[in-house]
Amino acid sequence: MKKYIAFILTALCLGCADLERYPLNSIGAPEFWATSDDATLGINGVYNVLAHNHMYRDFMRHSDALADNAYSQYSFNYYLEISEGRGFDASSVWPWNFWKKSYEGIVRANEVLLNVPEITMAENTKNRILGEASFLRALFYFHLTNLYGDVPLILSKQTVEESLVPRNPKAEVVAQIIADLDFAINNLPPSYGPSDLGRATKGAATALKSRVYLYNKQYSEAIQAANQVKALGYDLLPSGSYKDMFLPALENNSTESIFEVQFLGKTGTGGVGSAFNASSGAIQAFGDVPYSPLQELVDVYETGDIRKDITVLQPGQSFAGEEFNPIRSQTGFALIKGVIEDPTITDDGDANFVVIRYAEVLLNLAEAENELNGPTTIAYDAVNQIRNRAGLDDLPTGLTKDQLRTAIKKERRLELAFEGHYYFDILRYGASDLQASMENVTSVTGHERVYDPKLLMWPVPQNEINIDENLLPQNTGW
Amino acid sequence: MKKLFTLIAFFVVSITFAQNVTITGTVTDGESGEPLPGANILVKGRASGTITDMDGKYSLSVSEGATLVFSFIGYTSQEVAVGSKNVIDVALTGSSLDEVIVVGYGTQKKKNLTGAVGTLSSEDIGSQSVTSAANALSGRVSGVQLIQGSAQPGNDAPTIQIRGIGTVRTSVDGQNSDSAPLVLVDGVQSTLNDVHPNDIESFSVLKDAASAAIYGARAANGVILVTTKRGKSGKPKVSINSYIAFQNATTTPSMLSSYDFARLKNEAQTNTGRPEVYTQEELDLFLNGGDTRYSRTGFFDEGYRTGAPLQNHYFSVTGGTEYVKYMFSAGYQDQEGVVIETNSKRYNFRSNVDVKVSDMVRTGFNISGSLTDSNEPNYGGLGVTQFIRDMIRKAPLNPLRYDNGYISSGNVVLAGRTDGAIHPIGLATEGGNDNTKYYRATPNLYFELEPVKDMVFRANGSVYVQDRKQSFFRSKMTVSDGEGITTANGLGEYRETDLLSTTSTFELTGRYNKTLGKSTLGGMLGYTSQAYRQDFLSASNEGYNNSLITELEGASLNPSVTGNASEWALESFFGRVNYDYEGKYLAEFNVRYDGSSRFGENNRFGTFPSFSVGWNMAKEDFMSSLKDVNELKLRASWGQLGNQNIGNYPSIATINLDQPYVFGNSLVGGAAARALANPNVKWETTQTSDIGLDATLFNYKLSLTADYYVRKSLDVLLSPPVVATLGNLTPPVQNQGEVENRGYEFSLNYYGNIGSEFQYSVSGNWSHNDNKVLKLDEEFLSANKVLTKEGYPINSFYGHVITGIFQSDAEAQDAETFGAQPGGSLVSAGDYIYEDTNGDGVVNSDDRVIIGNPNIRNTFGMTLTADYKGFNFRVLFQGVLGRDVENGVYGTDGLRDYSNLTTAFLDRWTPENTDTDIPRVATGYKYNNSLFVGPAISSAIVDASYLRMKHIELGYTIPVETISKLGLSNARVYVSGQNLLTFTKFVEGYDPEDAMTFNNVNDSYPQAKSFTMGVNLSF
Repeated sequence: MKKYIAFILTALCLGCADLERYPLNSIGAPEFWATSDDATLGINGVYNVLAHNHMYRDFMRHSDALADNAYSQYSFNYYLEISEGRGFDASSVWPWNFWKKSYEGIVRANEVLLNVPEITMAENTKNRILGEASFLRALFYFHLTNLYGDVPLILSKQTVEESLVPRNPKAEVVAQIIADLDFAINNLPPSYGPSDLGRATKGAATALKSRVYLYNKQYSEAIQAANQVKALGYDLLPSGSYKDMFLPALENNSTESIFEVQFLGKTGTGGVGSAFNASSGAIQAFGDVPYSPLQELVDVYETGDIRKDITVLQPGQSFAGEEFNPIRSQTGFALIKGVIEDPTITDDGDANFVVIRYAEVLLNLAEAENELNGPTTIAYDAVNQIRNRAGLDDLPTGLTKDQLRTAIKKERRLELAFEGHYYFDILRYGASDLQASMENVTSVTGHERVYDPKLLMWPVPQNEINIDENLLPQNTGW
Repeated sequence: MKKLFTLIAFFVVSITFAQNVTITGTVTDGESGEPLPGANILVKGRASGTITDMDGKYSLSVSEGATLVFSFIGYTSQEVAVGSKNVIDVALTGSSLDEVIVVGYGTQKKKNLTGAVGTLSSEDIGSQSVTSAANALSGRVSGVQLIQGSAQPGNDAPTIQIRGIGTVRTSVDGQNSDSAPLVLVDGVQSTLNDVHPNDIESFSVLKDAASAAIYGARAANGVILVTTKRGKSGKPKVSINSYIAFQNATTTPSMLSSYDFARLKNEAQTNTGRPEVYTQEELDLFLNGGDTRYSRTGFFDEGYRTGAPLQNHYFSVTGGTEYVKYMFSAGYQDQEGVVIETNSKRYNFRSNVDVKVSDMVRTGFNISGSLTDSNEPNYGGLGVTQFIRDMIRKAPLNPLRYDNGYISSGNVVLAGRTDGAIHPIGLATEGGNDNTKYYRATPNLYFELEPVKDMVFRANGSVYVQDRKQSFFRSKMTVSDGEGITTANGLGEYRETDLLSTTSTFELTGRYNKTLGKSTLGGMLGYTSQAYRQDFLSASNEGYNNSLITELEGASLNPSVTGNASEWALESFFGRVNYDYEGKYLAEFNVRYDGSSRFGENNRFGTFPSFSVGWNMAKEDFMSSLKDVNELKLRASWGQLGNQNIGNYPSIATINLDQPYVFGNSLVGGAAARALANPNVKWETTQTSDIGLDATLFNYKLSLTADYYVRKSLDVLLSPPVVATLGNLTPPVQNQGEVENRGYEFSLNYYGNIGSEFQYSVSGNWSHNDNKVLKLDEEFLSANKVLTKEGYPINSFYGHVITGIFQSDAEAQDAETFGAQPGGSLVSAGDYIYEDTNGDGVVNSDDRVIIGNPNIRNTFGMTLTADYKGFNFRVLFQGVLGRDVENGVYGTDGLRDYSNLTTAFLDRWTPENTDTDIPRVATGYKYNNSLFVGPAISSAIVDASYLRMKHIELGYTIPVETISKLGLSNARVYVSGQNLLTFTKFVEGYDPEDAMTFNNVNDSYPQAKSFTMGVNLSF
């Protein structure tokens, strides 16, 4: 009997199972944030959000379809709902996607800002990483305030129990954005070595600051920031380089480009390619071009404007060696700015998305100067630099402040088309501009746009309110 | 095949004669002593025999040394050697009294069973040709729902649900695996795909908590125990089963021809104020031909195969001595799919060896293995599913090949248009191949020790190893637009993946039975531990210029590699006590104490108790006068089970390293948390109460089982959404909510005979289940279509109610003006009318209501068998009553691009054809009539109920004397048909069993109806 018992006990121990099992593919949270490598991985993870569809991979580029620059035929992207003001409500997907993705970036930046200070590492690298995180957090919050107004200002780590927060006033959020940008300006280098090209620079933070001040009508501060950018040595590229600025040929490597979201074509698993490159193949192969510049945009270009043919593919023109067949587009036009001329690219492409460049800074300067001091030489000069580069003459002299404002708006629309500016500009210009922009679109049958004042701001996503009623009240009209 | 017919011809003419003696006697019922009229007496190995008269008496001439076989429907057969006897009286006992069924960690006499267990034996399955063992359960066992979905060779295992869906998480993830039962093959956790159907001795489906609680943490969705055949003492017995079958799709989707498509596309363009796309000249070409660039053939003629062959061969040897018993088997199946370029081969083997070392020690080694080797078209990297979807969704405008011999690139040259896709048939046949191989092996070693009679200790260890090797080859193609040629279909891409998973199990049990007077007490204690690990590796290369080399070394463009691994482990203690007083009063208590690595330290262990009682009323004195009642048993049970299907590490917060970015034009690593963890997450508990009744009546001819159950899932595991301001992280798994499944089940068997020659049986079953979410803090909507909400069934369809079609523009515009359309979309005559269900004057997302229930309410099955002089006939009907499915092909996406529509749209609304429920056609996105992305609409919810003749078979058993000279002990030939008849009101051209989940009827691999010829031989 004894030997049986011994056998049983031996067998029992052989079979003992270890119930302590830990993930094999990811690091336990408590073990992370220990070394400078972790700090680098962490900050890279914040940039990763920028490359997402709902950020710069798709949405920002195509946000022009939400105003009268373009038409998007695909309902599943909800551009139609938003642009036409039909079927767009707090339950729509876009407002939710953008909200979610923005906070994903913000919380990742928060993690860096909260954890990296505790890591023992080279002080200058640490400060640079904290500067990058501050810049990125400012960028995400900036987008949020433009679309939703008041939003929750999350700066610390929260538990599920603590997460049912109210919204903070927009002014409070903007103050934080400025504070973050100032921190970034003080801690970021003016440029990087080859292996770090693409990280946020002092120039990026300064230029973004000018945009934030402009959007918030703090004109003298906007002018000051714009001048600081100029002082860092940025300048416009010559006309001949305009097209390549948006293509791999010149990426990360020009005096005009200040901050780009980085994309790399097909590199296997984990590759981060830009979706809009795929439209190159689409122009050649697919039944319909998904995003089409509108006739209403094409009509705005003055004769001789080189930007027209660089931006819009028109009937009779060829692209990648083939004549464009306008039947493939609902509007008869196709977008080619930043599209690599290679019909074999039907998937992810290589071209970066230029988020901030010196041309915008000049236009920020012109607009702020005109708003603050009227049509001064400074304002004229800034606009004319842009026009001359596009192959156009100087603006006529003697414009009133209102006339110059209109001219600056037009220049901004054409110069920065499909760079994630136009829709946001229309929203900040206000109700009458939004109404005009929507009612202007008549060239696509059955897709007339219906203005409603509530469209000046996006609704807070209903799915978020369902969980957190403290987010109420909803934005006006929704 | 030819040989076989020669054999049969030979047998038929050979008949033997012998010298006889006369035997007389009486056959009685062993329980009551009553005579049994109509009982069969056969001379073993001969065709001669007789039946008993009204007094149970018989008289028969036999040769000396013969053996008589006494049998009667419902009773266990007995064999008696004649020897020198002249009178042989036999008392037969009801077979159901002796029937032993497999239960968790043991066996139980059916008459003593107190839980709800459904069984299916190898005799019940017979020679029904099922390509996957799980399909044998279809229509046979009450309470078991099979959802077929894809019928692709090698990938045709149905989803099994026992008594409905208990866990809400299913709907969050859209993964049915969370509601799949635990499958144990000879006690080893496994899958039904691994078992050759002919190897199966029996299935036991443990439906209630009392039966399944011994499996604790993994048993919430029920347990299926499969027992394979084992050797018996005696000389080797060889069995060969072979069949060949020819398969066709049960039904073919009916899509518009190129002409009708072009015509409707023009009409749709006109309807939405756009120019027509096709000229009259082109329409004529589509209709009448004349230009080979304009195709006039649909895809299915070439895409579906008719008479796709299937062959299945099985060989086994069983036998043994007093000390060693063995069973070896090998199986081979070769199936061509009903869709071109799909096929699967399966090789199985099994060896069960049992050794009696001494009176006290027994041991054995079982090993089974299989290889499944399946192919499908790569189809642009998207596989056969996309191929089927494209055959449905693409308009058949282009020819397969142009006159220059090249496959169409998708261009329609004359019109300068393109549908942007290589011809589906061309892409399927020349676009490369995907191969999946499953290598599976399950070695299992046991020792048993019986130191004292009825005290048995058993230790066994097993490893279930599965290696899935897949390769995906996307080959470059040369295609033409009708004029020039160009390369297409990517760069020549090859990917290889390997997923190795192992489950090691160790078990130790001890059991003891003791009879004290009229009471019998039994007990069992056990320990088990289980560890699982999987390792995944994937590598790929691009730049393959042709299909000659399909290995990773064949190219070197964009090489890529990735891999990962995961683990879990379980450790459990369990025990059982059962008590039986005179066979009248039965009671059983089970408990299991389970620990899982998936839960944090705070809640690592859970306890799952159950008890059940039974009362065999027929044994009471007051029942003895009811001669017609052979058995009557009332059962009641209650118990709790666990569910740990929540992923492997829900309690551990982690940082993912797969968040890369690009700097300096190179990819660099990035890290971020992706999910929130819940260190306090614990088991989901499923609590089932069951009352049941088993009855056997009329000399064991009629047996009946009925059950009523209430199954409640408590502390349901789900991931309620959290605010995005936490960082857009996957919500943590939490325990909240309650789900109830409540239902009843009946099954009934009747055996009868007309004279001694004609025997028949009728058996049927019916199961009803109602699913309801009892408590849920936060409702959630999946895919914008199905809602899980308190008070309603899980995954209820949620959407707009369509009340009709606008008959005039005025009517439509009126509605538009008043906002009575969703989002104020533009509507015209011929568009759907959406109901303003809340009456606020506006149709918007607030007007969505529950419009359907995709959960199966009733399943049923019926089997009829008849035997006459060696001929046997059986037919199995099976069906579902009450299941809603979204018709995914209806309206697809409204003629956008070159998307085809079903022929139902020939009856669309037009100003001339107003009496229809099909809306007008429109190009592009129209919120109203489209369900491409929009919410569900009631007009697209269809009833997927059906009644199907699953199996029909006619066989002939060749008389033994005819074949005995060849050493055969049994020879049977048969023909059968599967899925030959279906009655349903489901979408025309689609099979109701296609619909796997709630809405993917538009790309499911078609079901096959097949015609089979087979032979079963034993030596």
